[in-house]
Amino acid sequence: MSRAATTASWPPAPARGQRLRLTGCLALVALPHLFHLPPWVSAIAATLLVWQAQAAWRSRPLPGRLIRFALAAAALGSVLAGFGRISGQEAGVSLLVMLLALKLCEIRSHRDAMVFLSLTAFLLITQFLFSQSLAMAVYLVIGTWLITAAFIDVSSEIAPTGAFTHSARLLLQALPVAALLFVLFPRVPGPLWGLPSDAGARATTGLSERMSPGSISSLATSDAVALRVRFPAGDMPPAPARYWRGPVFWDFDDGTWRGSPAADALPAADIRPVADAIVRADITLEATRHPWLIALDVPLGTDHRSRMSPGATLYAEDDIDERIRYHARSALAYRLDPRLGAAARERATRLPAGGNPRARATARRWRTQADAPQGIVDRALTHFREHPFHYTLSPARTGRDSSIDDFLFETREGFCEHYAGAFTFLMRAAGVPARVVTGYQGGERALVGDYWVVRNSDAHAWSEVWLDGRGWVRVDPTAAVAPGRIEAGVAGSLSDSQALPYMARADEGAWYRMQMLWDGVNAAWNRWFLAYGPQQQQRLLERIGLGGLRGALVALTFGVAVLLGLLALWLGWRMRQRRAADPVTRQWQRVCDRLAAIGYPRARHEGPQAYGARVARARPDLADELGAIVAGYIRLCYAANPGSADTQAFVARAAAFDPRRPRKPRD
Amino acid sequence: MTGVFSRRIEAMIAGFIRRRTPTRSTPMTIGRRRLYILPTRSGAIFAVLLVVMLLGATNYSNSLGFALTFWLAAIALVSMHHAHRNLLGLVLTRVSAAPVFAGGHARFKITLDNTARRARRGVRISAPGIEGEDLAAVIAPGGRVDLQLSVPAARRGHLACPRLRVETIVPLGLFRAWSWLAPSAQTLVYPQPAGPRPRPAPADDGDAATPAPARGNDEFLGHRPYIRGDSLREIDWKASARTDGLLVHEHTRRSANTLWLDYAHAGARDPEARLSQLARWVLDAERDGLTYGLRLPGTALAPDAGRGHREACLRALALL
Repeated sequence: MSRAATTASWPPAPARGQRLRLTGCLALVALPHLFHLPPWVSAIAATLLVWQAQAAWRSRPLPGRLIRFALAAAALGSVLAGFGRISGQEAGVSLLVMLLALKLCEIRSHRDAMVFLSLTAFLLITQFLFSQSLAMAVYLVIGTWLITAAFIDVSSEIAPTGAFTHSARLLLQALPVAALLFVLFPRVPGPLWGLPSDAGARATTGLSERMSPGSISSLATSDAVALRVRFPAGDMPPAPARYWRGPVFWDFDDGTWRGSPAADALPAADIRPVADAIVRADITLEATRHPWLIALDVPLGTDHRSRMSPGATLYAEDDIDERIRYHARSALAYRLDPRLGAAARERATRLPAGGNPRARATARRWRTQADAPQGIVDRALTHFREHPFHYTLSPARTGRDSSIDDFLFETREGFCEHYAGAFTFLMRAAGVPARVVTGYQGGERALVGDYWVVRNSDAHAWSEVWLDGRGWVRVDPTAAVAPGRIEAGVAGSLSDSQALPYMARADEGAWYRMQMLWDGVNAAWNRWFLAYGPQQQQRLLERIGLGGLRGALVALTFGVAVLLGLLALWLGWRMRQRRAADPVTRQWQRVCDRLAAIGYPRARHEGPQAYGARVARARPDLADELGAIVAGYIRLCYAANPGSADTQAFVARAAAFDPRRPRKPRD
Repeated sequence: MTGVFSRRIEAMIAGFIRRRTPTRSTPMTIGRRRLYILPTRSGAIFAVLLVVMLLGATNYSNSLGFALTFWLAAIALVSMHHAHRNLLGLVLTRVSAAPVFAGGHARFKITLDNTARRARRGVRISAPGIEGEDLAAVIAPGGRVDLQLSVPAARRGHLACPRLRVETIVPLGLFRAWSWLAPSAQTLVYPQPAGPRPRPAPADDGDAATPAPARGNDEFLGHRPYIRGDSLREIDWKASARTDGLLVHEHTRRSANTLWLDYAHAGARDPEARLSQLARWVLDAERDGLTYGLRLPGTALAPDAGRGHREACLRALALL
């Protein structure tokens, strides 16, 4: 018998070096997940990877089925225990990372390696659920390069360095096609099946659903961009008008201001804009995990589907889980709720039964002294102005039940939420309807690009009081204490600006300019790349005169997809039928696989007889069984008309062959 | 089992391909018209994953997700082109195989020439129904490789080179390009040397005591064409100059112990078994340095010795 080999063994299973490189490829692709997956997941994945790298390095055989099954069950169990579920973004990715590390243990054939690499590509895409920054774009290139090189490595009979250069060439050649697909492939508006509750980047800081002392000052230490604004017509309004309206709080309890379902049930705000005071802005809002849409005070509407709340804040239908762009109209001069309903008035003057007696007494005194609500407002602002109040990021602590009293009469240190909260409390105690508005105040012009940046450090809180004949009127008590806050931003007004992040400080050093430049790049990235979706695609097609083509593109893509799907189904069905036809080859291949699993892979040119002889020399205990199998196989392959009895005997013998089973040593 | 996917389709269009793959003499070039390409099974799995990634990117409106998906798809498409180009223009220069005995394997030597200025990688040769394959890891630009394909030689006679499948999955393993080549090359299969009968003793047609005489003493009969293995000294250069090929003196041997291997005395009733027996005797006689002749139904080979004679005898046995 000369050399011969079954066609089934081609292409060859990954060798030792390839196994090592596959391990490395997975490790590198999974690396960024370190930053957002729980440490225990990373630890387990790293352990598995090191173990597999070691096994590959020492050419140890792959672990048995039992061990693999136990490990997979353990991975599943640990994810269930750690997350309480296996769906969802983090749990799903954790499971994927661990199972891929385990998949390394069962790469026995070329196809295993190919499936492994396809799944690794899938792991790469999950990174982008957590972040879509420019850094991740760089990582996309590196990951794609690695994975393509690994595909070449296992399929191309080429040295690893050659695989890298070859894959670089492939990547470049594919770039134009990829760009065309990116721009022209018909986009469908998502989501298709809903997002998991933990979708989007984690730890998004921003405005929250309640305001208590410290909640806004904690934002002041964040450089993160909250929104970017372009003004398609006109320019940013002057500094005193740069109030960006966010959630409005009606209810006060336990030192915390919050919205409530009862407040939401009030009638929607009735806004009467002054005709020539309307400003239009294109706003790119970062993910907030909350439904409100920020816009200049007071918003009139957006092109995003939204509703107007009783507090005159715009709410989208769902939480904003990713960066969105919308066009907002706002009125800088307006009358807000010229008539206040009884329910709204009751809610806007409600206070808890007890607590903060000094503040209540002071407010009652002001009320008797003043002849109109406006007088009470002025009296309160005078109080802030005339007493030694400090605008600071790190105020002294106040008691929970007496937070207003402590702040007004003892510590006199606070950030905007202290001032807005105390002022609103005083107004309510004096019988003037009042509420707390949170949002942003300010914004700076970008160095590159025609747009403005509003950061988390611009977060702000102020009050609104309802005055007869004027409606809700904005009153910013912080401005009374620190006028510079409104004109020059936080940095100009804090007594301790060192606590602020670099970008919120006023001095414009080189580093600041570089940061702003970087922000410009990021803004362009967001605007032109990340925001590219169905609408932008339609606009682009219209601009190049192919607006009517989108329908045709969608139909064509859908048609081709359906055709390909049907073809694949048909081929798969035929393949199943064919596969059943040759049990002999299949069983022989299984025997070879089992021998490979215990460390005796068949060499490419090794015929059944030579292979059997080699294994028999190494493992005399297997010699008898293996000899019978090889003889049967050769007879079936070369006999002109093998009998079905022969076939059955061979299949039974080969199926029962298990080289792992302990045998009595031959004497 | 990568490639099974596309191998199935081959069967479906087998008739079509057979029509397009006429048996031809070498050299033959793999042209566009008979170069086929389909995704491997791994390629199909990869495609399914790409669809899943596309749906995911759509669901999350994730631009980087779209970018990765489309880039990978584009890379796969480009790799299809590379796989196609890896075989396109490859030249099958020569196919040859030395004669073998039945029951053995004919080793077809397949010479591939890469006339392109790029290296070709991972070119595999196999034949359907034949347990054999060979792989050229790399064929340098302008280079040449010899691959071997072992074809079982079951029966004596002519053995044609099977239809060859030349294929590659380079570079990514996602696509398999292949072509069918049916070179007209063939080789000879001698009867399997076997049989229980002892070699007959040389017939004593003269003085048995005289040892085999030197060839110079033989009586000149005429010329016959040169056969590999003939002694150079037997070539009649003068006579050869007048014809296309080389001619060799042919002599009768006044050999004392000429052995006649006769079909009629080869025992068994089955003709194949007789031929096997004769083949066995030819080999034994040659090994023992005898002069032997072969008598077959309708033909006979005059007694002689040497490699050339042995092969002539085996050839006659193969083709009877």
